[in-house]
Amino acid sequence: MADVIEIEHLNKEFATDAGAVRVLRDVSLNVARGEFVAVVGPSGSGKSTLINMLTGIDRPTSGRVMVAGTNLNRMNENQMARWRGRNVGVIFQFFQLLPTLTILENVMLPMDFCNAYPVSERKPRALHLLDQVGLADQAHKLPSAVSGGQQQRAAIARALANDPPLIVGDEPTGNLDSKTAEQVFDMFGELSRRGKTLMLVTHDRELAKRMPRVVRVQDGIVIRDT
Amino acid sequence: MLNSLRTLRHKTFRDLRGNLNRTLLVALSIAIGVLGVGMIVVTQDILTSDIRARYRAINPAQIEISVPNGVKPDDVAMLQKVPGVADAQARAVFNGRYRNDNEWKTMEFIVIPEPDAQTINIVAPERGKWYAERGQVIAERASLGAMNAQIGDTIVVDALGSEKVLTIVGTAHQQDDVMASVKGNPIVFINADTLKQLQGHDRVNTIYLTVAPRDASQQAAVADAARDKLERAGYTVARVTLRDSNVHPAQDVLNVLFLVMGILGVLSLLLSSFLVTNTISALVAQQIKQIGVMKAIGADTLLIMRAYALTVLVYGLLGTALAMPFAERAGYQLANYLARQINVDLFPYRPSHTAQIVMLAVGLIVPFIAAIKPLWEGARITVRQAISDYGLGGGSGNHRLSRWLGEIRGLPRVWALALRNAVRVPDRLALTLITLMLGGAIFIAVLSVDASFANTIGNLIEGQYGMDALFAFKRDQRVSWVVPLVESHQEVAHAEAWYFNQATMKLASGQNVQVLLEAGPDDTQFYKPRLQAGRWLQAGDENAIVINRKWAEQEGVKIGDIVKLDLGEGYAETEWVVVGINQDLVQKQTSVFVSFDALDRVLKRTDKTITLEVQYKNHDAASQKEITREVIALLNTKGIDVFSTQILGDIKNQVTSLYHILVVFLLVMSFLTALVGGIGLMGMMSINVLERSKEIGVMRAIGADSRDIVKIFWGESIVIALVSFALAIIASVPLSRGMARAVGMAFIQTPLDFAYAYNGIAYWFVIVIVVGTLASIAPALSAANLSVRQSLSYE
Repeated sequence: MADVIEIEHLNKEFATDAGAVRVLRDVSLNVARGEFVAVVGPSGSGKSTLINMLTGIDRPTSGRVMVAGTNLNRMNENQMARWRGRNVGVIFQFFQLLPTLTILENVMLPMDFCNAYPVSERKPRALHLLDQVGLADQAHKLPSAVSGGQQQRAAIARALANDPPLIVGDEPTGNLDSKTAEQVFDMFGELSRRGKTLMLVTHDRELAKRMPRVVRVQDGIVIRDT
Repeated sequence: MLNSLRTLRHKTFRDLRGNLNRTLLVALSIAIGVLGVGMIVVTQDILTSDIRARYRAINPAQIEISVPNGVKPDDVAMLQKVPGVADAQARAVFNGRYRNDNEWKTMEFIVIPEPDAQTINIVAPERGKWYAERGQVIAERASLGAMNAQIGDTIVVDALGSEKVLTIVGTAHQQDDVMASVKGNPIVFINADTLKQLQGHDRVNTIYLTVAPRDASQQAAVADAARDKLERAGYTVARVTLRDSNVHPAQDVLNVLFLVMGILGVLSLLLSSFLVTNTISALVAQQIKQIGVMKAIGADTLLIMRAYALTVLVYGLLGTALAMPFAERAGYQLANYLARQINVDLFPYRPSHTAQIVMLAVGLIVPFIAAIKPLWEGARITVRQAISDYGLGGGSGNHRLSRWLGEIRGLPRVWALALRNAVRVPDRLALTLITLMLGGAIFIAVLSVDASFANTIGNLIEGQYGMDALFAFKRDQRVSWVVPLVESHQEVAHAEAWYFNQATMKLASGQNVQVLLEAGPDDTQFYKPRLQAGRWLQAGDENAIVINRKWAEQEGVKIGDIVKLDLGEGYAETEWVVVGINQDLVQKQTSVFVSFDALDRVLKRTDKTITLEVQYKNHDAASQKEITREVIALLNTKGIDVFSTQILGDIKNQVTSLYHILVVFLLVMSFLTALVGGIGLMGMMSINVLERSKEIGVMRAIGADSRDIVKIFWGESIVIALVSFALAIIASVPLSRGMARAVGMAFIQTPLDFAYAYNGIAYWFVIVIVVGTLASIAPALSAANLSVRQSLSYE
């Protein structure tokens, strides 16, 4: 099975007033298509930076990052935005739906940006995705009119809008109560079963234990990969 | 407490430095408001003080006495003995004619007996020679343009029927009257010898008197005493005019300008204060978590307010410091422009201390007033409210308007986003819309005032006078002969004999006023009176007079009142009954009307006229000039000498020249308000970008490239611009009407004939789209340049 993620000797430093801070040190990691990976570690260990490297939100100081067969080092910001819209579904801790668009419009937006589907297909596809996450009846509401769990499910639908091979999330259940977090996690499991590659940062040890592969990061180094 | 303030001061200054763009934007907003007010105060201060000083320096006459048959120098000296008279001098002032572009035009010739011994209404040498010799003229400096001539050129003048060539050898500066272009006739100075050649005499006919300071309040009594003295010496006094030596003749017009500009300046200040309110609101919203934290560790509402008040103070200082040098320079330039229009030289540039005080007061106080509401609301927020915020900032957009816009279907997502984002923070939107709307409404209103002026002048002059050209003959002509002769020209539609002359109208109150006496046929086809009260002249009227509304309003003359007309030397004073009150703009609204037949009885003449009004079949300026030339030729073939001609276009230009100064000033002010609007929009868009940084990051994370981001922010700016455009059109209708009315009342004591400037809508549409685009470019590009990580980590 081809690897969706190939990371080789990745290093990342941030320049601060106190000098350069090395956040990732010689990280190498491969993730195959369909894998469901948890990235865990203490605060400041570098796990969010590692995820940001996969989405192109951050650039490596050295090393190589290949995602879905594309070398991310070579793209500028605009190319990266388009590529990301088509190949990576990003899920945030605080959902980050655009407040002035309805749930349905939020899900259609990545298709608009990337021109990924014919215009006539976008709405039925968005409704289908919302139906899959159980939100078809909330499609025309503004984000502020639905609960946090519903917003995160809408964010998952948005992440799936362009049918990307890779879904990444930074603490996607971190702002949800345990029952809702459970529902959302089940959804991720279902996506994995359908062949999506998922890589999620989490603090929740119980959730991490239920994921097939766990990458533990500490002080910028992958100390365990099980 | 003091320590905490010191710490907060550090925070304030770091915030200001850290958000340099925002600091500059707020400072710029304040600067525009201060500039608007400051510039006007500088203009008013410099201009008023300089023209007063310049006017005083020429020692203006307080009494001017016209003695048409001339007065001997000894008798002028005799007037110095009249109680109250401080000084007396005389000049010869005559109207003659010169040839310009093959047409004879009126020219004012002045002889100053001893140019270097002038003590009243002092005329100063400018360039070239100062003493005109025989055959030479010194041109009043503002007259060169009117004559289209330079020093060294020659002019052809009429010398008792023959043509004489005079050489322009220098220029002089005369400041006791409005300039030539406003007055209409060029002014030249000649010596007594030349006057003899032109007029056949060298009499001085205009006496200037100044009144001793202790007798200033007795000016009218002194004038009467001087008149008596002259009349007892056997002279016939045609006219006595009293003048205020402290007030330049153009001061009235300037006062109206200052009033209108002052109103617009205050308006631009108000608009700029909206921008401050918006920005401070955004600043507080952006720092709400910090406020929460400060409150959590012990700061009270007052302390928070004081901390942010310091920010406002710095904004005010920066804005004022930015505006002051510009306001000083621009104000001086405006004053200089105006001074040139009234033929006065300003003193060299210097700062206006009055304006500096006003600008400091305005620049420091107004931002505080504008910031009070947002500061109070921000400082009162509870700790829980302040730190409970999470997710995407910049307003939820969850309000009725946003939901209503959400119902609009079929818009592309990016445009739907732009539209709904525009209404996301309603208070901010409202202030920005008001700013832009007023900018647009004022712009259209200013153009409407211009159009209304043109309309009014068109109606009052073209509509009222109806003729195309006015012919003045050298000698009286028989009406029954000259009218059919002129009408025999195939391009002439109609001709009427009219009489025009200066006269003194003596009112029942004892007040004497100078009027332009106009007399034409009872059944005139040309003149269309605009009666405010009473009736027009009728056949059979023997002593009926229609006066201008100016006399009714300023002097209280009513229908049925009896007035006396003094036509000057050789004619008895006659009594007339006021039958109508008319509105007429020419000659500063001094005209009064009697019938031609009634006037003939006073003048003891029959079938005579010296002037003729003629209407052509074509009324364009080129036809007017061409046909006038042909009619002159026709008259010449019959031995009739035409002294001068005036076509209606020239009269119209004289009337409009002063109003155009006002329109130029109004346009400057409307440009300022448009600038405030543009900066307001740019400020709003910058704030939006700051507040929505996370949102931008999210959009980029899900596939939006720079073009999408720019499109969203540009679209939002254009949506706001277009909504403001629609509102500006609505607001411009009453504003245009109000402004046209106010300006009309101030200038001509009557509302202008309103004409809405439809072209202003098109101009403003283009401006608003350009402003909307320019206002969004910088914020949109800065949004597009934010990296996803920067955006998502924004607090």
